Amino acid sequence: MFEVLQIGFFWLLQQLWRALPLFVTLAMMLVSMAPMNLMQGVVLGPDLALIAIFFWAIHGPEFLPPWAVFAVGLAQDFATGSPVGFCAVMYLFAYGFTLSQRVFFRGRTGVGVWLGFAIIAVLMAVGSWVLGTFVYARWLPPGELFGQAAVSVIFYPLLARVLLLLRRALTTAPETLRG
Amino acid sequence: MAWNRNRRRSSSGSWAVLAQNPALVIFFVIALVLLVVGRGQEALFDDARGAANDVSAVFMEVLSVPASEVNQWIAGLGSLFSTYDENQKLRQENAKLRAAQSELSELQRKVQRYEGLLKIPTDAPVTAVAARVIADTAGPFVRTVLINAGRAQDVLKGQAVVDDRGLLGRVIATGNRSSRVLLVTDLNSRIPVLIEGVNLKAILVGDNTERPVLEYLPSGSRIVAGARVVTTSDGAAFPPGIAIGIVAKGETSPRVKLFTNEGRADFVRILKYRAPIDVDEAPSGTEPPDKGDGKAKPASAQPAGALPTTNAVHAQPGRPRPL
Repeated sequence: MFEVLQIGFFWLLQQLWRALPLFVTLAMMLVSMAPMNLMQGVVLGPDLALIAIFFWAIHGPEFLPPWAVFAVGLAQDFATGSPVGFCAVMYLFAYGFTLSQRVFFRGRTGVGVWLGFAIIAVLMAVGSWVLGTFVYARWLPPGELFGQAAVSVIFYPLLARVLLLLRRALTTAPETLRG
Repeated sequence: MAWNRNRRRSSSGSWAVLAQNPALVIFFVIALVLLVVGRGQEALFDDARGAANDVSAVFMEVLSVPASEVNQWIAGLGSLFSTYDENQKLRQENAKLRAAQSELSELQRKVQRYEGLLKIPTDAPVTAVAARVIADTAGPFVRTVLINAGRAQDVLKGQAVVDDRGLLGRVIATGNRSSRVLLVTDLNSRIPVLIEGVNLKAILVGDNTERPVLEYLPSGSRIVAGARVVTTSDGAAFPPGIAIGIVAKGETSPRVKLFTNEGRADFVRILKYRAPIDVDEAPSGTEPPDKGDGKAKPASAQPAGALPTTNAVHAQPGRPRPL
């Protein structure tokens, strides 16, 4: 009986550990919603969830599978009041595109990956603008989208370093936790 | 040739990713379906949004405390360099306000006297609930904030939300202890307004810019930049007279420079307003035929909530008082 409980406990711990990237991504999404007026309303804050999704798509897609990206997007839709499915579609698009270019990105230095993120951020801005125009059926000012993409690109190196620490911890964790 | 080979490899790589990740395709399709269904039937997700607001409010309450500290710190840092100028400006403003105050109290006395003479029903006070902004979810297409008051505090969908300067927006979704406020700058925001001075009515339309547009103005109407824009009770949505902003020049249509600074809204008030409804008595001879034995029903036998049959009944004791 005790052995079964022990196995169950470690299994649960293992699942929670493996879901840590998802929790971190959700936490980053919530942080980006905090009423912090850092940019004084001039530009929007960085898209922290996109940074995390791009990072995990390159450095460990097994830690953030498509269902988790879908969950993050849907959570963002509900939390921000966006049309349901909008962020989910855009994040899955960014995730899929990054995965398709993963081989290219993996061999690059930090600057190369940063440049890759810049391309993804711009593609996301263009994609969001196109989808937004269809969804709202009217002309939308694209300036803010590109402003947000630029801010996200600026923030990427700093946050990628933090996420890299987590990524290393996930790989160097004891065998029982790695699974 | 080499370029062609690379291109072929790259495109086959993209398709290989999709082939290797059927889950990616499935979830992408589900998200697209949700997007289409959600746009067609927005009310479908209302309850889910309310519940999601309550869940995120728990985390945002915690996160908003350090965020507020950071905001104050930044604001303090900025004002450090402009303290002298600000002090001078405040002194001048104070002198002007003192003069305006005495004028205002004189006008108030006059209005009260006229109201007494004309026997105008006194305005019903608009009650309010105070709340704090706990999340600012301004995105490229969405301008909303989350506040920490909901159904438990009798906050209802559609109620106006103001800060110390003027109208901020209206409640669009309510959870038990949190609500989402659609800001006046949001793409979906439409507010009936009145331009003071010229007494013109228009619709204030948000377009995700800092200055919403004034639309549906009567053709040929002339308005002056700087005229005050306030809410009207048209559509029974908002109490009349809430300050919104002043008219500013736009490229094609006039715009409104808002009094509120959405990014700095910290504490807000949700106004509990119910527009008065006039119900006139039906002309004689149009009463529905009495079914049954033909005997008139006693007043107590009327269904609950039925309105008494008197001329021009006000559902509320009087008109709401403009703010």
